[in-house]
Amino acid sequence: MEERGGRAGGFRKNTVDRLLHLHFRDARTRVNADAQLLMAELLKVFVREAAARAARQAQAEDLEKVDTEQLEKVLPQLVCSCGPELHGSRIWM
Amino acid sequence: ERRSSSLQHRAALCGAGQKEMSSHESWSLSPEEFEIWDRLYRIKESDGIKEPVLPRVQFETLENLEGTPKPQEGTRELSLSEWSIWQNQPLPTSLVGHSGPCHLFISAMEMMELMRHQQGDCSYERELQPHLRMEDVNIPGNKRMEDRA
Repeated sequence: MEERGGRAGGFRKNTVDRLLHLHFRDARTRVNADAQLLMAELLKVFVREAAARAARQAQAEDLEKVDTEQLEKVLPQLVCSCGPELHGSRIWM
Repeated sequence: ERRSSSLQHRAALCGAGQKEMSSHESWSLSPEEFEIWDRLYRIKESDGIKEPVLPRVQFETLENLEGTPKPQEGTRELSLSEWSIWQNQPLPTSLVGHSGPCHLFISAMEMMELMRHQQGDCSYERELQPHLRMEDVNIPGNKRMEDRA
């Protein structure tokens, strides 16, 4: 994970911190720098996973362009797959 | 058109100079980033597409903390059920594999698909009935085993 100006090649740490603070119930809740970086990475993985799965769905339907419909098809399994099981890129044919 | 400008944008972000970096200290978009977002990604009325929104959590049998959300004008609520027919098998993944709960969801959908065409008796009931022990269940007005002992 490369840190350039607080960016993990995706979300900036400050942005992540701000987003988290929007939703904390207790205003005194703090996030340390490591957790911010980790969260930035996690958000990036989530975004890429959503994009990759929707793109794969479009491919399966022989479409050139990913539309909301393809995203909707992968959404149920995406939102309940936010588990800790990371594995290497597997290509499904 | 969009592709070339997105490449320019990437080049601009990667070859970041001092000035570029200083504006990155902030949590929000820099003026340059805002311009890119506004030009390429922001949904405008002229696009003729509705802004996607996620469904809100609602409990039918509990008091909801937030009031019943009203569907907003010009938005499209993403559906988690419209494509249920596609959900009875694990869809391809990229970096994040399917979780335990996700596999449970898929097998439940699979089971429903099988039961959809059933007539008369329920196969699931037939399968489980022999294993029912009355002392395991609490039925009002039903004398429990230990009471009789």
